[in-house]
Amino acid sequence: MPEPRGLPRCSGYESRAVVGDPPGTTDDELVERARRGHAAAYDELVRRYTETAFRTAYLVTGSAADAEEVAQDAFVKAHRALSRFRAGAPFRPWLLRIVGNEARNRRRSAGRRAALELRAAEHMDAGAFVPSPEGAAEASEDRRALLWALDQLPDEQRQVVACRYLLQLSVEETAGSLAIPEGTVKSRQARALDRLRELMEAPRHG
Amino acid sequence: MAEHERLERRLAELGEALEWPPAPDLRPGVQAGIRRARRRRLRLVLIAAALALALLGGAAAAASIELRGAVIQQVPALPSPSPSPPAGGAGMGLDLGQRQPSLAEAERAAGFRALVPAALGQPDEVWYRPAPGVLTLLYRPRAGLPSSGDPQVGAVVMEARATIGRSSFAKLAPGGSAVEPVTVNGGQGFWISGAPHAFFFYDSAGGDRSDTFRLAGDVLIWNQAGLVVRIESGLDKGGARRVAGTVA
Repeated sequence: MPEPRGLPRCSGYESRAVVGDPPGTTDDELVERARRGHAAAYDELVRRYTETAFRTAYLVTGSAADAEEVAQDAFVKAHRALSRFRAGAPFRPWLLRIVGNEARNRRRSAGRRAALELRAAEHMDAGAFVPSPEGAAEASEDRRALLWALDQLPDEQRQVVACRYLLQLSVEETAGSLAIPEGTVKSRQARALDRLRELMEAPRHG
Repeated sequence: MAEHERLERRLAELGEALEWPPAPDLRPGVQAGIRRARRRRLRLVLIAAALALALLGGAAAAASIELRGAVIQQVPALPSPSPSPPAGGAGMGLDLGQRQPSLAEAERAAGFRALVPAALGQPDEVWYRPAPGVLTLLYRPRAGLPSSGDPQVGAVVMEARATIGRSSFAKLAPGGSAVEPVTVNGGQGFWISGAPHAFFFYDSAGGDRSDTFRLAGDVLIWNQAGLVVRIESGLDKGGARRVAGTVA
């Protein structure tokens, strides 16, 4: 079984770690302090957004090793650009735009096709997701079908769906990460949902 | 629309059920990256500053800067910036002993009051070498004081409690060095020209001590106030004697 690339394996239900959870200090305050040279403040921003940055990079590059380098480089570049960051603007979309740029550059230089390969569906394991074995099997089959349908989408639609639903990014963040206008995010998302629905209703092949 | 919402909910559930590769702790790598980026920027700033200085120096030397009219005349080649002295000082590598924090400290170490050439003013660096007890005033090149054989040194004035005489230079290697007796500030002295890479001897209370000249330039050496004073520099005989005349 080849190692799946691009899309994480699907396992039992796990509570997704909440990213950007503010433990007291707001992003604005941290950004302001980081701008004045407080290393600990920037450290906290890095800690807060490592997971989102890493997963976004992973979706684009399809490689955990590349995603780590991309996310790290993006944080370094963001730090250098802090002086140009508009005070009061949300930090996460701005950071994800940098991550998206870095990740696309990395993917281009590696000569890879768009990531998001969905063979990960084979690894699904319902685990504790549902209480009964029947329910588990049903849930597992449902996710398997959904992953198969996602795999049929064109890359550009699949990436929008992955950012919007798998990473739970906002339209603005998705647009920034993928370097496309927000209107394009919405139209691709709508087309993707229509197509997914058709695929889920149609008899599955392969 | 309800079907769309259901689909969106299922996609969100799928996202929650996915097993992502664990996100590494990026903080140490980010901190190191920020430090590297800072060092790179600092290097660039220093290079830009050096280039700007070189350009300004060149333009000024060509007397071609005119701020109001913003005229900058092109010069045939950029002057190379004066190399900055090594961290330990321009005297590093000249076997001058230990660099001293001040002239007063050097005088305390040497046990005598230094004679300073008023024409050159306060030295840029002061050194003291215990054996054979030589105190050195080092002057970097400047207007009127060209660099000597060493591009970072205009002149060294070296002083030791001793005397010299004609026999001090008996061991000078043949091959072009000329020793010309002169009188400087009333004391016996010599103008030594032509690659004086050789030993000479101090007569001192502790016995004769040998020493060597440090620079490739000509040397004016004389007795004054119980000290042997020598000036090694890129100055010609007249220039060296003018400087020597202000030593007190």
